[in-house]
Amino acid sequence: MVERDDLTAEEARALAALASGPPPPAKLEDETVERLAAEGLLRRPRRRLRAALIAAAAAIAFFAAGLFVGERRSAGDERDTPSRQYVLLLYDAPGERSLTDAEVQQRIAEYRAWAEDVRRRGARIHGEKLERDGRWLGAVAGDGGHPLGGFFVLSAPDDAAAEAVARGCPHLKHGGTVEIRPIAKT
Amino acid sequence: MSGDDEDRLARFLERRDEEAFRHLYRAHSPFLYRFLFRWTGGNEALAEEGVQETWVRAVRALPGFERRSSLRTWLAGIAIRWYREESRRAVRGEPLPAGESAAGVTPIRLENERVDLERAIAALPEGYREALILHDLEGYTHAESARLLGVDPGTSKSQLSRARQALRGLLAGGAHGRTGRSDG
Repeated sequence: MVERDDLTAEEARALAALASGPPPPAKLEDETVERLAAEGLLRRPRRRLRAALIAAAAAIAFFAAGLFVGERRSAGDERDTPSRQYVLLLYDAPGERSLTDAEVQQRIAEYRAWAEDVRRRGARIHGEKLERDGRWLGAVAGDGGHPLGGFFVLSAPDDAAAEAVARGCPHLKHGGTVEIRPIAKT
Repeated sequence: MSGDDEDRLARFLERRDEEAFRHLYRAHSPFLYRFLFRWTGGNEALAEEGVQETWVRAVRALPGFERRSSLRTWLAGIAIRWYREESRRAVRGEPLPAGESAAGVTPIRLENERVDLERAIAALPEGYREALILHDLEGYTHAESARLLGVDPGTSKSQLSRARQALRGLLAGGAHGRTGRSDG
């Protein structure tokens, strides 16, 4: 039995042993720098900008800025549990262009809420809506009448888990199409 | 605020460049991540997001930082406010259980593996966890904890007392009966 308010010496030692704690993932520093630079809060040397542009995949993670989540794990779990990354490509329904600005904002809020819910349930996901117009370089690929309206990058243990998450995406409810593409391991 | 922090801060405010920020980041992010990892109940992703959000907010607010606390404490305050906003958005607050009975309390044992202790802390009700992290893990006084939590020191003290009892219960597999061993 111990005193209500006091730690025993052994308890204090046990808690003190947690002083170091888990370290932040190494990628977080670069992601934070990228985010600050993107928001105009940080000046970056030119070579960094070029490197960031070349590292397209890393840049995606950064630009998304905010809907990043990992599987909910306790400290002692296998923190290196392998998971794959997937891109959910959101192709718009043909009638999508008629949305008003307010409707677009409502849609964005809906998608964001979905992603946050996914994240709360333990997945890692971030995404962005894309502007309608882009520039093509090289041979032009047709969009089959379903323009790419946005994307999410999702970490999931396997294809089935990724699909289960994707099935809940509100894009489907609005008549859009979702393509699940695993990111290649390079 | 420490001289090192003052130097790093002055350099960053003067140059606003990446290198100066990275010095600040490396000095404080191990604390911020550890703090948020536990604050969020062991959610790595939320902790990562919280670290990034804290820095974004901090860099925006740095010119107005009055140095009435250490930079670390100021960052902790930003992190706590961020997490509260997140929690409100998720509407996931759970009422704290009634005070634990002191009867049959098992001491927090050193032989419990660190993993079990981390899990037990993660399983504590939010208010208890916050009080325990600030006081017992990060070494804040009751007055400092209370300021960070926006409560009076008495509340911080009673929350800590209950947190310790709840932690003992969790480690003993007692009242709460879950240490997260089976499903993490």
